[in-house]
Amino acid sequence: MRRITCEPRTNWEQRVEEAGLIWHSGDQVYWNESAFYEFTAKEIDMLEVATNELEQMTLAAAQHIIDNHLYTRLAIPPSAVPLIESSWEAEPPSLYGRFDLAYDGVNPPKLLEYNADTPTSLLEAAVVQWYWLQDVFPKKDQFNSIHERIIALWKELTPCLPFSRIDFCSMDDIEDGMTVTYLQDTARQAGLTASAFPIAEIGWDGHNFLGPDNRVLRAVFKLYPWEWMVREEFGQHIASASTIWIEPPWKMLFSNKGLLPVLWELYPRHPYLLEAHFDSPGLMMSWVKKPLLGREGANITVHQPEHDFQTEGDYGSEGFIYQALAPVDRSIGVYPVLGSWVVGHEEGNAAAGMGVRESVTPVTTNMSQFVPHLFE
Amino acid sequence: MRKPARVTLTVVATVALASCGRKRVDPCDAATFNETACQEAVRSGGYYWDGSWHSIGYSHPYPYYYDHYRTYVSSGGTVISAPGATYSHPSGSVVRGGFGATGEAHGGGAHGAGE
Repeated sequence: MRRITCEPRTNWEQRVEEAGLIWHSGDQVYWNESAFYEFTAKEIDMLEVATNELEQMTLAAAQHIIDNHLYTRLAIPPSAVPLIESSWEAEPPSLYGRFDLAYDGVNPPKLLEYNADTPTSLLEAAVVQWYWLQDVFPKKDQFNSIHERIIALWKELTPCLPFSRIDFCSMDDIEDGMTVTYLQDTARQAGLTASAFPIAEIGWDGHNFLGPDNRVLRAVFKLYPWEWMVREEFGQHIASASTIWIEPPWKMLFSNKGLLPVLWELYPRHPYLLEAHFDSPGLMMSWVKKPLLGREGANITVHQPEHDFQTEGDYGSEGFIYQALAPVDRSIGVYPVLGSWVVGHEEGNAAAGMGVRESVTPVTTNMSQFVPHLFE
Repeated sequence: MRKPARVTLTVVATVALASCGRKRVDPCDAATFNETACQEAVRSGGYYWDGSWHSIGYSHPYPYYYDHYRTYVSSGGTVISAPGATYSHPSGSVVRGGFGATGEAHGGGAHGAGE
């Protein structure tokens, strides 16, 4: 894996906007094509294998949590348990997830966390970096079949979606809006009827969840965390309503950092895992303290001997986990994190592509930059 | 003047007659079949009638009721359906804003809930 600097396309803003990335710059650029990451085919093969194996390991961890009722350890409220267990048994539709991996090109990739409930940076990974590749290095390849895989999965899920319809909702935010607009487009390309609206516009009539047009919501993709939904006013109605939610409630187990110590307990010293514990760092010398239900790199403490780095935020009231600090290649001056996407859950065939985000600090936040990649 | 009981009975009878004028009909009954409303009723486990919810434990999928209706029609049965609007839910009783508060509290709309 090499980070290579290069000249951005002269009209890069226009090109990424044409691909749907209407928010590409804030205080600094978010989409950064003044560099790219180059991988070997062998490295990509390894990342694909690792992603598929992690997918199976996390499913096994979910089963373990359910079988052993570890909900309290994950600060999951009792009212959410029936939702998790019934959806786990019923296997309702599930779309995607993103493993965040630390990788230095030498050692096996290490799982930092798994975002399988509300992952974003999807459009960038699936579409924008693909167009970048076609414009700049058309003869090179990219670990990326995300777009095609999502459309194929929508087609596969169509019989499960009443009236071949799926509604999308999120917070009224530009980044989340881009993600659901893109997913809405993939659903339509798969032949589904789809609409999108802010999650605050969902209504409840005493029996059903309704859209802004008072239509009963049968199947909803929600880019909004389950741990928030179950604690909010309408959370009490989720069990009685007939709405199919994507992602399903059992994904609550994966949007929780408590998954990491559970994985370590199940697969101790596994090459794709970092040591992780509930409650305390144990004997680890360098570790990262993460809120169980933290988001966007908030309230993280990176501890190294004689040096602590902390991020701010308002998470952590539910408790923390401690994870070993991942080895990083400091020579490149930034901290890259590979976001390895899974689409569906087919054993050995879930890995669908990758995006790279990099930060100037050890913690990936919503200020990190997306950098395209290719491989030989 | 021992007539109050009789007066009361008269009032009750009047109300009952008024209700009979808008007797609730199941959209999945063959004689009152309403295709769209029946599909919704089976999926929802009930239906609205004049703004009130009626929970019905349909024991079969929608095609069962449709087939039953077709058989009824082909054997000469008469179908008197209620207007579709009769089965629409009362929009005035919808509550909104029950999702989204946590995200607003965390980000105030400055950034979303995805990560």
